[in-house]
Amino acid sequence: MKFRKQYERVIERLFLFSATISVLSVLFITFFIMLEGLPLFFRSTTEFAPPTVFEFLFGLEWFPTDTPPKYGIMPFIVASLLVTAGALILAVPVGLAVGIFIAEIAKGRTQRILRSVTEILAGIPSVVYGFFGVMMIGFFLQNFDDPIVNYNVFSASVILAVMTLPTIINITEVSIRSVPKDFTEGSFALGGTHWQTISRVLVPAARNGIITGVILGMGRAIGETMAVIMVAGNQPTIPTDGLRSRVRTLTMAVVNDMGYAADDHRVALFTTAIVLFFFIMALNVATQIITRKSSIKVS
Amino acid sequence: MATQTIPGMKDAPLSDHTRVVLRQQTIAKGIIWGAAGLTMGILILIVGYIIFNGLYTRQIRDYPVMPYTQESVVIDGSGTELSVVVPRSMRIRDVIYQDLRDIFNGRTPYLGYLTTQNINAVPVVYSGEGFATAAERYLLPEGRTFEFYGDDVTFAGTVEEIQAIVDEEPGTIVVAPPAIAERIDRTKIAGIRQVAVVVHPDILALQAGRRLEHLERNQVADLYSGDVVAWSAVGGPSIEIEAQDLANDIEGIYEPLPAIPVILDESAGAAAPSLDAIGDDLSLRDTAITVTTVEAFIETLTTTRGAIGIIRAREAMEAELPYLEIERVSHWANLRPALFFRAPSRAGAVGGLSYIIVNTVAMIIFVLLIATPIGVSAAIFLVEYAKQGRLIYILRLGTDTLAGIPSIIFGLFGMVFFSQILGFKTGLVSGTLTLTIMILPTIVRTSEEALKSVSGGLREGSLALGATKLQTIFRVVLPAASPGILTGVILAIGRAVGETAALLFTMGSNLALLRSLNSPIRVLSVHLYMLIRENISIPNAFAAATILVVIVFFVNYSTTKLIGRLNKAAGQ
Repeated sequence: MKFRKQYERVIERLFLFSATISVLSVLFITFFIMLEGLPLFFRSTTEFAPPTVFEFLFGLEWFPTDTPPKYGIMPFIVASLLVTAGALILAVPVGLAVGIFIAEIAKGRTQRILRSVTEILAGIPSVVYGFFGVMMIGFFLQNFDDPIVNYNVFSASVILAVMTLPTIINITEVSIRSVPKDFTEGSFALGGTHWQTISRVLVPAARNGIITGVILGMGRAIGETMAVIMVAGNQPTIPTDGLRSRVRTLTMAVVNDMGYAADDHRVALFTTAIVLFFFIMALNVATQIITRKSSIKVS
Repeated sequence: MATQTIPGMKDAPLSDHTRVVLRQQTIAKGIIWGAAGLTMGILILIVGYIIFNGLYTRQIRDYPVMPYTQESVVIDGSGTELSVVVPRSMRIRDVIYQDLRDIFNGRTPYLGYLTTQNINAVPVVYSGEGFATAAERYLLPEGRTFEFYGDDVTFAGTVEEIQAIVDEEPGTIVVAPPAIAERIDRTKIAGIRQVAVVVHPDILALQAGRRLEHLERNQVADLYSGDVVAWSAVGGPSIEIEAQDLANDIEGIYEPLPAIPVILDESAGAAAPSLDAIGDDLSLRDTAITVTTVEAFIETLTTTRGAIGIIRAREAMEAELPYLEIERVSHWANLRPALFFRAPSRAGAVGGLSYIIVNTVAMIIFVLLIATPIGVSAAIFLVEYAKQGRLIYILRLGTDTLAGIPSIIFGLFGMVFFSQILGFKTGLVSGTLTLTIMILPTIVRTSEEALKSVSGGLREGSLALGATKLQTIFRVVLPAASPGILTGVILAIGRAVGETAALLFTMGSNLALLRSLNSPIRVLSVHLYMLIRENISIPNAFAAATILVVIVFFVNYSTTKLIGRLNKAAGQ
């Protein structure tokens, strides 16, 4: 009996340990990315004067192989924000509408099909989206003179919009669904039509959840790598040509150079990753604050 | 959901306000239906496009000869005939003269680009009855012998000798008289395409920034029959009668350049191809010029503007006549079962996906072996042991945060931590561990939901029967929650299979079979990325993408089925 108790205690410890692995992973990831990236600001050698944090973040020039090298990641930050904004402008209205559709309008079979559609869109690997993007660009380049669908911000935004759509749809649906039935019934009792109930009662009540969805979508868009790297054009300069500019985002910068980078250059890529990491963490904190404020649970 | 009839709607006229509200509702719902349709359309477009191209490939290629195949060709005036024989396993239906020539003078030792098989050419010439010298006159430039090009070519004097080579070498290509060719077992005759379309040099000249690059076979027929009279109708040049004058803003003035067929009469012998090569039942236009010797043909063609003619590719090459590329559309089934069993080579341009599939399956097995126990244990702790409070909040926060970290960050972390600090190098172990922490949140969350959905009564019943807490968990709760847990595992498979960014620097991208745990290998998603980035083979990329999409469908189908079963069980 005593042995049995001890055995149970050991197993319980194992469960606890497993449960802490996620937290440990987050801590380890944070620590090691910092460890590799932060030295950029402190490594001083004869031919290399380390950039200040300000120079790094707001520098407009990225010439890692020059002597002395220039590490300014403003172009990447602008590019990341630009494609993310473009993606959200396209994805939020559609995602919202489809979320409402699944939660309130569609019934039975239509609802099931659309839910599967959303899941499959979420499941398609990003490299496949990228491949599709490349093929579409090829098609447009072949058939039109100077089409807007080229290796540029526009294409990257469209692909990212499709990729963030499922996140927004899902969370909109869950949020609207979790608004208490009383709200709907109250609205109908007051003579509200179905659409008035949706637009004036359900969506406002689900607002926090929807915002969380948009932020999560933003996180997915900003951190997305493989789809963007194939369609965004990969030009490390400040975008000047609007939607037609070829750009390189933060994620692209890391993947693009990591294969051959050495010394300071490699460190600078990790520093770039730190910036990306900060963006993601900020978005995470924002969702935490919003979910804690609202009574609606978003899974 | 809501009833949309207004009480007394049919009797009383609607007020203006009601009408506006109803119209708004119709418009809004219309927009929402539109958005839903758009989402569905996007999915159908993407998936349909990928799967269609994955199963079926259509390739337009230009060839220097007409798509007219002959089982055997006459070499010269003596009437010697030549056939090409290949092993039955070789994926080739016909061979164009230029390729045949390159194979027999050693310039194309590799057959991958002709057959999509990873084999080298073994050219064999039948050497009996003076056939070898005849073959030289056909396959090699004037006056050259096979010996001139080294010992690439094997001579075989009897059917038995040829048979031995054919059975030994999958890349054997034999030229022999048809009578001999028929007697070799386990082979097939590959058709020969040797009819070139030659034109007056002006036809291929650049005019107004455009150049006639290729024609379709029926366009050639149209030019011959007179259905198309002028070259400009098929994208060719016109005669410029007044030059472009930029200063006075005068665009050039042009007159149509008529197509003039030049026909080499059959009396010229082996060099004159049959007019069947152009099309069946060809009616010649009356402007056609007929000549009787090869020399006259060449002379007419180089001096008559607008001339077009067909001649054997060998004579066209010897006389260096300008020839037109002929467009040929070929279709084939792309994702064949053989693709799964053949090894990739030439960076994935030819061959199959066997190594890649093995590597991917190994990766998934390893990831699941590590991630499932950890994830389920974590979920058990969160649901069965932890009490609401600080600890559980931190643990949940950790899982949520981990789920939000982009895969490229995981890749960098894996590269530093697993590959370098822990010393696993770039390979299966590093990649697997990186993926494990990446998919952990998926497994933890779905397992949590599954465990929560097990009714409390089940637990209490078990405890009341005297089982310990652990026995209850393992014998009662886990079995009841297993469909839900399995759902999480399948979702995790879907995510792991498609992951690329995290694997580029941890698993590597070497096109090698998994042999050791610490050497770089390539999985399916990375393979797809490499095929596109280096523009190696678009058909193969479609095949890889199709496999990935099919896996997504499988994941969706099985999780939906499992959840359906779970709901049913909960309902009972």
